[in-house]
Amino acid sequence: MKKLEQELENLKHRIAEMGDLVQSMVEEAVAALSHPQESEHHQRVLADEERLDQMQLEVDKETIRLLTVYGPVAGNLRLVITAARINSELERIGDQTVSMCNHIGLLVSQSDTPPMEQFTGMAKLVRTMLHETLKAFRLDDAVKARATMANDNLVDVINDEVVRELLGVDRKAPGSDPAKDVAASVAQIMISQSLERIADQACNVCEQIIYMVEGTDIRHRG
Amino acid sequence: MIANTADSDTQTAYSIQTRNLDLWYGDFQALKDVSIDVRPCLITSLIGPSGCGKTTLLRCFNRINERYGNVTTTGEVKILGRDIYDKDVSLPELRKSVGMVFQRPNPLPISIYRNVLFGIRTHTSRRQYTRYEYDEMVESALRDVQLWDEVKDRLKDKATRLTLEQQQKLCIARLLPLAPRVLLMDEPCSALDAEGTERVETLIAELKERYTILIVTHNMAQARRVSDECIFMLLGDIIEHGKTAELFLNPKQEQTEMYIEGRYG
Repeated sequence: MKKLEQELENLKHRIAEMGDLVQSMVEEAVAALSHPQESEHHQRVLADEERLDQMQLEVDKETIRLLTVYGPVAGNLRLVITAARINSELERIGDQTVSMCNHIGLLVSQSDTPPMEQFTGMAKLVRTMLHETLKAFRLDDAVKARATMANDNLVDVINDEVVRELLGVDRKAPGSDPAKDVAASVAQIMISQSLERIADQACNVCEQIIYMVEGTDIRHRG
Repeated sequence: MIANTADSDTQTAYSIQTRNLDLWYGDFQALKDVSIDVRPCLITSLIGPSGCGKTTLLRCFNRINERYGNVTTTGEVKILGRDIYDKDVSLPELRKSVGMVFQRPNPLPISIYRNVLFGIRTHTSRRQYTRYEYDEMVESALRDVQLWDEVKDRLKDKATRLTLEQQQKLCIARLLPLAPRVLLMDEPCSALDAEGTERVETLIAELKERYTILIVTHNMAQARRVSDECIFMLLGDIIEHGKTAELFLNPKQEQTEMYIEGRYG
């Protein structure tokens, strides 16, 4: 195998490793939804985030080095550019898992209300999307990337439903603290937003996979 | 004579060091106050526009500049910790330790086998090695340059019948029985086609673990691909010396930036 090919394989491998770490962070954040009183999930997400940030810096440095040293063209160039962009998306997904855990903590501290039931279905969709996205990346599979993106609409629908429900229902119970009610509702909305953003970011990764494989930029096409 | 033991490496972190090196061809100064440190087990490229002194500098390291008349050299050049311009330095010993590969492959018009052994036979007495030992040297050297499988059944063929790529690999193999510590390469791929260049570059990368390799190249893409460190020269001066990726990404000197961006040279 040529040296550049080997280096590009290594780069892909490092992105895939980041993907595995991000997946496990999402798993932890989803576990925190099911067990909001257990703080260890939050702790693990925070520890993983440090590793993820470090990996982002390393991959960033590596992509710059590959561009500088090899001046890649065509598919090789698209791979390096794509790796740099996916690197950022994965790091942001990591940030969303931290945000989710923070808001689960806020919810628990302000209210006895558990995280909303809709999150179960939403989380399942998001996990599947992320899993399929990373699989498409490993396999250079643009078809799988396109199919995965279709699930984003379902996540958006649930997110809209959650927001509508929280805005439209008078949740004030007799004797409750209005400030705490608002805080709990905001926390629920933010959790929903985080899941919705993770799905968006998985879509962004899928767009990059399609660009990497086909050279077609499908962003901002409505 | 150049020390040829591992101990010499422990005395210095650098294989090649120059201090205030000046060189004149007649009254033309080709090198100006050159002070560099070249690390072992790395590939270092010398880059710069034509006439900047990179080949002249390379030729200081095995003193073949002296073969040309009217050359004056001052300053210090240390290889493996020893000043090679000391009066008691033996040129044959120096050139055993510091091998050189030229732009155009220059195999001798004798067999492949005898080409590989040419250096060692020149430097040793006739009965120092047995036939078996010579055979082993030839196989080892040709294996090291990834040529053995291609030529093992025709070692008695004339080396001049090999392709240019094979000839250049043979020229590298010819140095290895002498157990050199430093390999100097003056545009070693300039006579080769793209595939030959790629294979010789791969070979050079594999050799770097055992040798200090210094390459002159006018091809910046090659310098970026193959070298760990780069030295940029201009009009006989060292302008910048740094890690290759860093020098091409974030050059510290304006002249370096202008050159690598193709704005002159």
